[in-house]
Amino acid sequence: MDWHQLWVIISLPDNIPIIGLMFLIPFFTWYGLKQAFANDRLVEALEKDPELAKTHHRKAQPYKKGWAKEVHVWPYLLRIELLAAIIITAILMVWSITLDAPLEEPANPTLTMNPAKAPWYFLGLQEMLVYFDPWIAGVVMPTLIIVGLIAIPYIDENPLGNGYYTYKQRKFAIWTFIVGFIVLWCVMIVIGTLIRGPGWMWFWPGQTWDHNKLIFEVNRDLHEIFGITGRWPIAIFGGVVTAAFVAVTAFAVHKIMVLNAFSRKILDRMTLLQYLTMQILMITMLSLPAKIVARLLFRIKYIWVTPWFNV
Amino acid sequence: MPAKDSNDDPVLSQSLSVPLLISTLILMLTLVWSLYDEIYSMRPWKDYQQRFATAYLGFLERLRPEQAVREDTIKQSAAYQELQQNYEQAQQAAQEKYQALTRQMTQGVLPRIDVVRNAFQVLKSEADALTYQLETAGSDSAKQSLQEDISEIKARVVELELPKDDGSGETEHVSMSYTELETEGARLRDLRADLQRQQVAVQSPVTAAQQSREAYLQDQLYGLTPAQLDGVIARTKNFDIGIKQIHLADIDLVDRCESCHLGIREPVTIGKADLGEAVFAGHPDPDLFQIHDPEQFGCTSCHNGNGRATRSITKAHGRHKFWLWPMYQPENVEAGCHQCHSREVVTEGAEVLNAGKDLFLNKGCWGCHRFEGFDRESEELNAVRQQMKINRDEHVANEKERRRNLELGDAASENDVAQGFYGRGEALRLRNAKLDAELSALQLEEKSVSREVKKFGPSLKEARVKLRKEWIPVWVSNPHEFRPGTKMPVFRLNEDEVRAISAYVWQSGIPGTLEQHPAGNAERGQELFETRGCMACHSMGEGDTKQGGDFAANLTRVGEKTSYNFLVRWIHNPRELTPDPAAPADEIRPTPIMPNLRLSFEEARDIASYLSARRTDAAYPAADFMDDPALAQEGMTLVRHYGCSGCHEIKGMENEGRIGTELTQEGSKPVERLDFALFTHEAEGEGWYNHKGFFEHKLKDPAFFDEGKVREHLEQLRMPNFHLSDQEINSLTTFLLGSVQTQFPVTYRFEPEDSRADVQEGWWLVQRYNCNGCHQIRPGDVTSLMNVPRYKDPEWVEQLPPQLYTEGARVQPDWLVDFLTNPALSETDIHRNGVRQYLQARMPTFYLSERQVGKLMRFFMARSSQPHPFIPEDIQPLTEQEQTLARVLFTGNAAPCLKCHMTGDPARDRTATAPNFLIASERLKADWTYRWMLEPAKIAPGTAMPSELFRQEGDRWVFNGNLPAMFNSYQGDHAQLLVRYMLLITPEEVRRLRGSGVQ
Repeated sequence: MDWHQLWVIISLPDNIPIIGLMFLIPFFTWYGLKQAFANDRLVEALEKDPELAKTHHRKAQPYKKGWAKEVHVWPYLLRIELLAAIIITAILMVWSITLDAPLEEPANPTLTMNPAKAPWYFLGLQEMLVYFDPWIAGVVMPTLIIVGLIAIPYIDENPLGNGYYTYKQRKFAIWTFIVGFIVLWCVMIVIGTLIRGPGWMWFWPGQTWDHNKLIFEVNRDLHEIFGITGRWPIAIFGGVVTAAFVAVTAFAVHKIMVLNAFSRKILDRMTLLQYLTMQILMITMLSLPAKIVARLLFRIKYIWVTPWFNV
Repeated sequence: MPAKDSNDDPVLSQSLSVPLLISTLILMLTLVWSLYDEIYSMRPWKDYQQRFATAYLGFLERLRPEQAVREDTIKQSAAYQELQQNYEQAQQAAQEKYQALTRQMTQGVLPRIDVVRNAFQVLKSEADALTYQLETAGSDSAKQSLQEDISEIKARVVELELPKDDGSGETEHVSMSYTELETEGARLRDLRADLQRQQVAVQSPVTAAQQSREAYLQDQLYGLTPAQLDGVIARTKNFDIGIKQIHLADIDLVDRCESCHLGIREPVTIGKADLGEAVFAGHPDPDLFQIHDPEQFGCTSCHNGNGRATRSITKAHGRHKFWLWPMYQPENVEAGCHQCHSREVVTEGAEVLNAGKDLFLNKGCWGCHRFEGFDRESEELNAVRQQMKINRDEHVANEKERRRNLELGDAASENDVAQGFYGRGEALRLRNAKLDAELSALQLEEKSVSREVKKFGPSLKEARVKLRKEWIPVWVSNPHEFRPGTKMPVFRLNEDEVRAISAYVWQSGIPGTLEQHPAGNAERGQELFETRGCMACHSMGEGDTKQGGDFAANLTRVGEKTSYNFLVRWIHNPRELTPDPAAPADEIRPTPIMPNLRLSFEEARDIASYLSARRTDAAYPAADFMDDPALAQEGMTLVRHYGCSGCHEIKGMENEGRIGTELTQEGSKPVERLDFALFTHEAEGEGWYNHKGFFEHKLKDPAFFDEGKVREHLEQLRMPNFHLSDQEINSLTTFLLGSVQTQFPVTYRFEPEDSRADVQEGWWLVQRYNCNGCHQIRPGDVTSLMNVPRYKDPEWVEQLPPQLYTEGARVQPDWLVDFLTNPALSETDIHRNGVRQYLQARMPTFYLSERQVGKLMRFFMARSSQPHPFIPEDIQPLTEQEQTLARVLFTGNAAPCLKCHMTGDPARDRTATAPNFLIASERLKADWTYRWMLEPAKIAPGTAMPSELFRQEGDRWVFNGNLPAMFNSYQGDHAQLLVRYMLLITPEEVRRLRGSGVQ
């Protein structure tokens, strides 16, 4: 266990946000969910009471009968935000006094640093390059992420959950968020920051980042495992496997959508375009964990090899 | 907080005052913290400056009374009093005249100038205004009338009450016109200038006396006078706290080092302990500021470090992972010199750096590693050969094209067309003629340059005739065991490699026969070895008994390896090489560095006999394997692999390249490119992950970074071990650290084009040929010979080769060129010194190229600040009477000239101990000779030439001894007379001298 190495990595001013992120994201997720479950119980109680069920009132805990149904933004919300702003300002001040900007040596075009890392918020993208063809990981995926984020309000027309935390009414959205953002995006950032060392090799925390380290790693394409040769057979085989993955994933996503009556109701309201867009985005997103598993556990580089593109 | 009804809506009823108050307080605290950080934590130099101001003031106030006491003591000393008296006398003598002049000036001339100038100004302004109107007037009549007005002004007469210009204070009534005023003004200005000149002239003895008094005081006081100290104290009392910064816009340099190192440039010398903190000490070598003014060079340009940083010691000194130019450690501080002094092999004052460069040159590092400036000759030779090849190729192509044109011309049907082709053919013929001329010039240059090319080690083509066969594998496997301290490093060879390399070396040697020589007298050989100058380069004995120089091999066991007949040939003439019948006819072989000492065969045999007996009775195992051709073939690969031909001339590898990495800019190579191998983390942890650490470890043990690596034998690091001492490692490290790509423009680098460039060039030759093994080039040099015990005997001190401090001033350049080309100064009588035939040590023939001789000549001239070109002084011919006088003085018993100096008479010269007079006319410069006769000890301390041969008598120097009566009427300078006599000596006079039977 190389404690010095571990300290060097986690104490780097550049990496401090990631260390914070590792603790803060789970905490706030838990905290949000806690409130969501409490609210869900409140909503349930309100809906049981026929008198209150039809009226408009706040759905956030704590709530008791007779309390104001609505509260004003000023001062009740803004004073809390002011408090938050003050605390954040104080934290930022202390941070800026104690940690200097992580400047390094002047850039030298003839000498590439090793490991060469993107800024922390791009490390997820950089980590994706390990699993996908650069064209896909560097161009297609980022574009889809942005387009997908823009498309969310048009896909998700569920009016419930506005202005209060709820789990019950937004199960699908919350799980998509947990898988897509927390598990995939944040974890990849953490891996890129703390795990990837010289040569973008995998170093467990506490392992020395040795520039001389050599690892035996031979990557194969899926068709090589099955001994398929020839340009067309390879392309067709890959296409079939990919299609199978798409079909299975789409089926699974659909199964989840029809798991309960609430989701079914939402599904019924969706247009075909909305549904297809959502499926494409979901399949693309879920292809990432599939590739991670294939790559890290089975050393498979590409599934589908064609003369034009590799997946 | 009031108790709350649990039924109240917390969103509405909850008060946030407490959290708001607390967080606001925290925010205020962070604000205070940030201000403190901004003002103090981030500006630690403020504290330094406060401490400095207090400590410095205390120091100055302690120093002031001390200096005052010392000043008083000096002022009371007789010498000062005399100077003071001189000053007062001068002042008195000048006073009256000076006062008169001042009176005339202040009471006469200046007031008069005022009055005249005012009156003139009034008239002139009026006239000028009218002149302008005249220039711009429209009509002729207006012009006419303005012209009249101007004439009227110029004719106007003013009445003036003028002070008289004799300073009497009286006034006179004068009426003057415009022109008269103008003339008077000019006259007065001249008068004023004249008076000022007179004042200066009258005052000059006073000023001179004052200056010599002040200079004496300053000289005796070692430091500032109390008055000067008062100035410094006043300045320190008003110490201004702030960043002290040097900004050099042209090299984008900002150095704030002096924000903490406040005493570095103070006029008072501050020792490390004087102010309690070493940080405030003065620069250890303030003289350097004379030639490297900090206002012009900054600090970090020499020392490195981060001049902009002010936040911590670590950051300012650049000891930060990401700062590429950390400050040099004290032991490597001279590394900073090299980036601007990269052309030099000897930089005045940078002894560690010089030692590093000397090691690089004389350990043969350049055999494997290219370094700009080292081994320039072979690069020039390559360039010349390249150019020759280009010329030849063009010649062939031109010739082909010319023939084609001629054929086309012959075949053409039209006359015009044919003429065109012939014309082109002719042009090509002319071009080829020009190429031929260039080619022959290049051939001459090739010949000249190739004389300069030297391999660092001995030629292995001679191995067969020179070496004992069985000795080779013993040597190859570990040269340092056979000869501790040898320049041949220890390679990491295994048994098989040693055998293969030995076999190749043996079999690639030229098979030749040597002339057989009878044995000589070893006893006489030893005497010759110790006195002819061999020991300036070679050493004898090991450990404590070692004597002689380190420039060339230690010969303690030379008898075990070298054949007697080869030794005789080598000592007699090292340039005699074994001819190689298999070599191409035009092959040019590099010549050895060892010069020719022009010994006779008899002497060579004696020395060779002595050296052959320098052996132990070590046993050598038989080495029959060395005749195996298959093994030699294997050896060839290895010889190539280990780069043996970098230093040795080896058959079949004459044009091999260097195997090492180029080091010219090794110091600025990114540290990531230095292969720390498995030591990277250890080095980072222990703080030597930097250039210094890499160089030091690599030089200490070149195989160091292979440790722990699993590698094929031939893939291992190849650099051999030189067994360097720690001091040598430090010198080389300093040199390598300084070998950087400089960021400075040419104007900052020391690349002069005047005579200083000659000095730079010359040092390369001096170092290359070990001139300083025998001669002291700079005062204070210690030559190898001076360290040989024999020469410490007062009897033998006289036998040391001459000092060359003032060589350029002493001799004429043409003569020096002749001498360096042929130090015997004779084509026939070569077994002797040309000048000092009485010296046992022999100035050898180096077979320098003309270019090298020229460089050396200019080196000596430039070191003595001699003007170039040399124009001999006109020497006034001697009259008949002077000739007689001089001859009498010269040959008489009174002057001891001929007691020591040679005259060319073989019988007498045997006992002479000083150079020959008779070549003085072509050798010496008149003014040097004159100075030499008056004060030889000043020019060459410790010389046998007696001082005080002459005494000063008024303006002339007179011989300090019994003078013949005929001198009574001679009024000239006696030393001058002798110089003229010597430098104008005619063959006739020489014969006459000999005829007159000079003792």
